[in-house]
Amino acid sequence: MIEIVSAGALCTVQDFGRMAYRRYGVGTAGAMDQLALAAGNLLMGNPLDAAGLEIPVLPFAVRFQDDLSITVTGADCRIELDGKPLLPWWKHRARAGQVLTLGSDGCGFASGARSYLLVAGGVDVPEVLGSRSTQLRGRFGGHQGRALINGDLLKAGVLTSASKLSCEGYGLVPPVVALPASAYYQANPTATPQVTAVRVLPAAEYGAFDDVSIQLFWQTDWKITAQSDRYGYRLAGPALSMKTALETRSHGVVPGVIQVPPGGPPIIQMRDAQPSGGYPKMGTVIEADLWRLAQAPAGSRIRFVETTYTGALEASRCASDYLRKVDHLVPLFGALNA
Amino acid sequence: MPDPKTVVNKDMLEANWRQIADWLVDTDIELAELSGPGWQVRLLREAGYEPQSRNVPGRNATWPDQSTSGSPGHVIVKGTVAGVFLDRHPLRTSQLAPAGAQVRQGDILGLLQIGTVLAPVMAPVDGVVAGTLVSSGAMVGFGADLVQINPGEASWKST
Repeated sequence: MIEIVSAGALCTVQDFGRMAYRRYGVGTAGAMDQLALAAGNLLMGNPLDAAGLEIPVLPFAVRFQDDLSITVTGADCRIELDGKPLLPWWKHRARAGQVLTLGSDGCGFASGARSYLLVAGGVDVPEVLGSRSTQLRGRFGGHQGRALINGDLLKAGVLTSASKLSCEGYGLVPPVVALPASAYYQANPTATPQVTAVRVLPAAEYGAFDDVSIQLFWQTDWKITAQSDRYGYRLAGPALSMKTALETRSHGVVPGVIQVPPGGPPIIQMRDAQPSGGYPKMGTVIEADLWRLAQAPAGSRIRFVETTYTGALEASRCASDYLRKVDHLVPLFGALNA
Repeated sequence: MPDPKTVVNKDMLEANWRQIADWLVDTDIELAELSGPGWQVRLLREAGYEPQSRNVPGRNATWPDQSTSGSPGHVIVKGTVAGVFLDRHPLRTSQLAPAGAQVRQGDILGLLQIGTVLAPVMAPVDGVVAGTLVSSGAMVGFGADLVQINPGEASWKST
């Protein structure tokens, strides 16, 4: 069992989410940074989509009641096991009784916005509609359909043969290093640093915006406001306007869709977004860059970089390639140290 | 049509894999992997393996001891795998083991990056880090000198 000692806030159990029920109006939920979840699971010898804990607020602490292989991926922060500092994106052995602390002494995230705690065997909560993800709005899934609180007890799942065989003491090159944004975005050195560049496909109503707004859309370093969460990122920046007011019916919306409410700056729909919406869509952040968005903290800035359908597929291929390499190398290192 | 060069390499490998395994037994290499289009061979060391081939050139070649070479009073930590040496974690700004740092046996002094994986360079003894012997980001081979440690606390006091 894993005991939540300090839950922080809005810490939830998440896997890839429930993809098959959007047509019934059920949002997907699921990890915001799916690459951190997937890569961490491979490091644990778990299936790619095993459930882990998404930790958006520090400090956070758990006590392990049994010996367990663990890793912390996603955003880096001060990580300690019984006071001993640990590396991020690294496979560690936690012993029964040990306390894992993220962000002790009031230290926040060093970079990024969400850490993931993954354990060998995955976090075992009941599947609801084919997923273990917490649906906060619907209050189901995850652990009792809610964010974790102090004293919650979570069970680690049954180990696969792969997780039984492999052992600790090695780590992964994080995607932020392995898949650098510099590959598609050359930042202006005089501009403010701390800008997350994400690739965007123009969406259905793109052409209905006036030319000035279209220019502003691509050239603004949009600020992620404090009113941003798992549902969506509300951006601050110049107002975008349309050539003529447009009435659109509600239609399907997926994570990454950039909506522009009348007269307002854009809103990016995230994992807990409802599956339909009616605002005009300026563009969509490509799926392969949603993890970058997930790690852009409130208060930081983002830049939209235009891409094409082919570019989006290529980006997905790069991310899959990264996971494939991890999947290929991890069993070798696990066997080496065994 | 397959590339003739690839076919030759694979055939050579199949004919000689046992000898290659025997060479590897004399090293600290625990795993060797060779691959080409459509094929892959992994040689993984198992405890208790006895060399099978009779004539093994280089069988008596000596590899540097992993922890005790170097001038007296020093321990040179060597690479146990080929890779890119990193003196800090790629997400962190501070060095894992800067000169002067006191370390305990098993502490991580540096990292070796092999593709997407990071392997630890671990302190074989308690001591004080005298310095790293390669620059961070350098590609290093198996057995390369990576970090120098002055064992124990006494050498730490001496100037």
